[in-house]
Amino acid sequence: MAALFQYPAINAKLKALSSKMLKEEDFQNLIELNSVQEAFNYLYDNTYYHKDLEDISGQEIHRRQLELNLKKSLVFSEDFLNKYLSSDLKNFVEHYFKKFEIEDLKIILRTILMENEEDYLSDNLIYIDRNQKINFNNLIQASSYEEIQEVLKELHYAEILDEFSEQYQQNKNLFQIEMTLDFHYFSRLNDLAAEFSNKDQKYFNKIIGTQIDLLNIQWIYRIKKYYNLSSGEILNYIIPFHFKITREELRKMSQVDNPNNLVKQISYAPYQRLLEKAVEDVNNIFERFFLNYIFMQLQQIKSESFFTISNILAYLYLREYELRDIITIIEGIRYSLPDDRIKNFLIRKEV
Amino acid sequence: MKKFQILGLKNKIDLITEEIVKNSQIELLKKEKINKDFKYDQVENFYKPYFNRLNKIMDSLNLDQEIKNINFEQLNKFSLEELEDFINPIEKKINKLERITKKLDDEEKRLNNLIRHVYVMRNIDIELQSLKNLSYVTLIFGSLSQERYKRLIENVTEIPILVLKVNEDQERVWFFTFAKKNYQQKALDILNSVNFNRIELPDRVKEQPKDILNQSRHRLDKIEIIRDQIKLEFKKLKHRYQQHLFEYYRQALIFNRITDVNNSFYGKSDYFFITTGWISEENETEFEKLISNKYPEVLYSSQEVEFAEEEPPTIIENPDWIKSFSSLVKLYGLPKYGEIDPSLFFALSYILLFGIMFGDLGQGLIFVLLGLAVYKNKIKFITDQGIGYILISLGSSSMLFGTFYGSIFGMEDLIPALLIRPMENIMVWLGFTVMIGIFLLIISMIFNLFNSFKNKDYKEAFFSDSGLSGLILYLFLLSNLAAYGLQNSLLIPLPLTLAVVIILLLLIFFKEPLGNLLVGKKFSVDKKISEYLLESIFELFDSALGYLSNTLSFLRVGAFTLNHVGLSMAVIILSEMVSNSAGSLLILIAGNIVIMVLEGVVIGIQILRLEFFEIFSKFYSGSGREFKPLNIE
Repeated sequence: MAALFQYPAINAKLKALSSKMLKEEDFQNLIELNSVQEAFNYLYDNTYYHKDLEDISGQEIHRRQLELNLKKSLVFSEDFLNKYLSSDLKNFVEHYFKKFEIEDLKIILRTILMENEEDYLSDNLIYIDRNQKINFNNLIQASSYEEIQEVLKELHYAEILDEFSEQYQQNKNLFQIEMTLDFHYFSRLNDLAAEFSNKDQKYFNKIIGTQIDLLNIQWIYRIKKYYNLSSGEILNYIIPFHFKITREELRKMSQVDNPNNLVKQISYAPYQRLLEKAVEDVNNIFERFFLNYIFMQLQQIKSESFFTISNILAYLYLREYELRDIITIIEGIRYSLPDDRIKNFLIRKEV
Repeated sequence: MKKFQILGLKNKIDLITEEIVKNSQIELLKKEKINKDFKYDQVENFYKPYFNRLNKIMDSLNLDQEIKNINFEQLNKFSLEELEDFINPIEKKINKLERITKKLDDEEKRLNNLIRHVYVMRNIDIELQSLKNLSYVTLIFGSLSQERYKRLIENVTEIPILVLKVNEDQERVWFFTFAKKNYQQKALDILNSVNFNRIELPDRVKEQPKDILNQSRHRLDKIEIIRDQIKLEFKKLKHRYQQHLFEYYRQALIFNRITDVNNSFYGKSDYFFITTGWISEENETEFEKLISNKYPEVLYSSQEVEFAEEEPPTIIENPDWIKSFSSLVKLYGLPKYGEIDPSLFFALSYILLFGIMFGDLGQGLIFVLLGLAVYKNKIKFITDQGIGYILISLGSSSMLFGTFYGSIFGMEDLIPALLIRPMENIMVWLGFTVMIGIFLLIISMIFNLFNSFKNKDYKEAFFSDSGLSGLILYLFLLSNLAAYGLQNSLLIPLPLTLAVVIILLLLIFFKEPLGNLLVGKKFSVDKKISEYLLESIFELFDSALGYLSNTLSFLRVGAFTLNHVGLSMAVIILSEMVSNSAGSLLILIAGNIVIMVLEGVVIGIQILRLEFFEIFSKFYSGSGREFKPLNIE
């Protein structure tokens, strides 16, 4: 019953916004352009990104600046979503957006502790500066693990950073921290979704569950191919949720010797086909197959139900994928790839 | 409000910023578009690291960073070397103390962990050392969070190792792990992948478990003693450096802020800097004089600007008790520049309506007392004094109307009614509250007239449904209605009445083109004509209906007065049904509390509704932006 009141307003709004999203021909047009400046003009003149690009219009456009503004437009959607949501959904969406904060955090850790490239941070962080609990200037000027800890001490990731601080001093390895951050993110998301109605949970599983499944498959494949970890370690590292893969299957997958045999352990046919294709196609990016799979699912889901969370999730994912494709194209243009090759990198390109 | 620019040579930039910050009534604008030839380069802020370090020192020494009343006197730029020389030794000492504290923390943690482990074995007579050096089995002591422990147990099925839980609390689990010697590395790998916390046995443990326990506890006591000594050291440091610290801190704070402001609000070229901002007229005369006298080579200029284009910020200044109500007004929006701040009107009408709807001498008194308690900080969980003001004013109004109605704690027969008993004169009462509504509506339309004339928005002033045409229409309809009710005849003959009404409605209908005509444009609309007609028809329908519904909406004011009396009656009847007097007193008290909470909230919301929908929609756009002057913080 509650869903009847909870969703119509936001879903109607999202329908309207979805209609403004880029069409196939927009992508075609973008691919055919020859410079970043032209891409900017196209987005500025013809799409809803207009207002997000306003403040850099009239200047010479740099790829990083353009990408940053585009990415920020995605996180700004949090603000308007919040206006339409009831409090428990608000919590969920707020946490959903934390994934951008976590990505930022990873960039921060890598940049400050590993590479230390100047200006890289302020050009690439998209979300964390929105967090009122952080002094952003102090953050990007930090230069050591302790300083990062100090700036972030108000956040709940502070615990994770504290926990690993000793270990980090010893092995200078960020791997475990990053895994734990992801783990933390998905656990919390899962906890919040546990409060949903059955219907909402169905869609949560269909979208985020699928994503987790595919992330885990991808992870195990990579570990099998490039690293040598024991089964127990693999199981400890992956995200401990599953949707169309059973726990037993995950366990068996963690035990195979040859990454090409992973397919045999999966019983859900669509995943099987997907993984087979992804493994065969050596030239292409592994990840794109999975993203495309979710993308196709979303196309179906987005118009299935008006009284569930499906529209919100689908909208958020589709916006993100649209953005990733635009950025892929901009990078393709920047490095003068032929049109066909750019096309092959797009999420929306059928696999 | 005026917009100003300051242009000067770069070497004066710090001094100008200092003046602006000192003034604390000036808002600067970020990256104004007109200054395109100037770049927004960032200068490195050399003070920032020092400021941060000082901050940290103050934190460690438990000193308050009072920055509310920083004075700008005697700002003698100290050299950074001097600052470094001052900070460095203190920092070193603090670091040393903190390092020791950290070591103590670690040691304490380790000992506690050890106690957890060894405690299970306290009754076994073996030397722990012997467990450490077994020939075929490795023994690992460790602890994990509950959640990770669960994961470990689920996933550790493949390797021949044994995990035994020895102790747990809500968050953590302490365990032993046994592994065959040749699986030792594998076991450690998998334990590491859940990031376990390894607990090492002390190196030279010859003793048995219970001796280790005693020893550990003894060492824990020792740690406490050292901690006390460290605390003393901190106090000494504080005492010794306090004064100097404050002085350096003040200067570092000011220079740090100045550089930050320079970086975020100033455009710079090779030799010049420029900045723009908002300043109030009163403040400007003095500020301009100061700048031109003190810095003759710095250019200051300002101009009045078109409100519509620039949207100047609004200064909101109200006495404290109104401020608490204006936080409710802010829920709707801030007044636009040049728009009347409705806070006073809102506060007065809110208080009046609350009194009318919730007239009760006794319950009002309780509100007042509660308000006083909040005001005097007697209630811990409400720190906002504004709530105190609201409660006091609403309570007093409620008391006043309580004496008018002769109502105290819901009882209607204890004191005489000074004016009227609403329950006994229902129709009169409802009529009266509608009159109040009409009065408030007329005032808000007058406000709208005032606003629109002030902002030279003649279209709104003359032709809108809450402008002059609307006001005349509303008054005309009301007076006709009154005349018809009293004398059974209209003021002027019916055809004439109809003509007047229709003409006024037409004026409102053609608001857009008529407005254009007024400002010297053609009689036309910017939109498609069909679109405009359709929109206007609906709008007209809506506003005609609005006059009626807005007016009748105030019936709820009377209805809630009656509602209040009704609820009170119910409580009194209930209390009379109980035979013993203690019981009936209890019901009376409980009932009164329920009424106060329930009705208090409902009425509070109803009035808010009346204000926002009926009144604010007539004259208040609420689309303003608050004036945020730069200051030291």
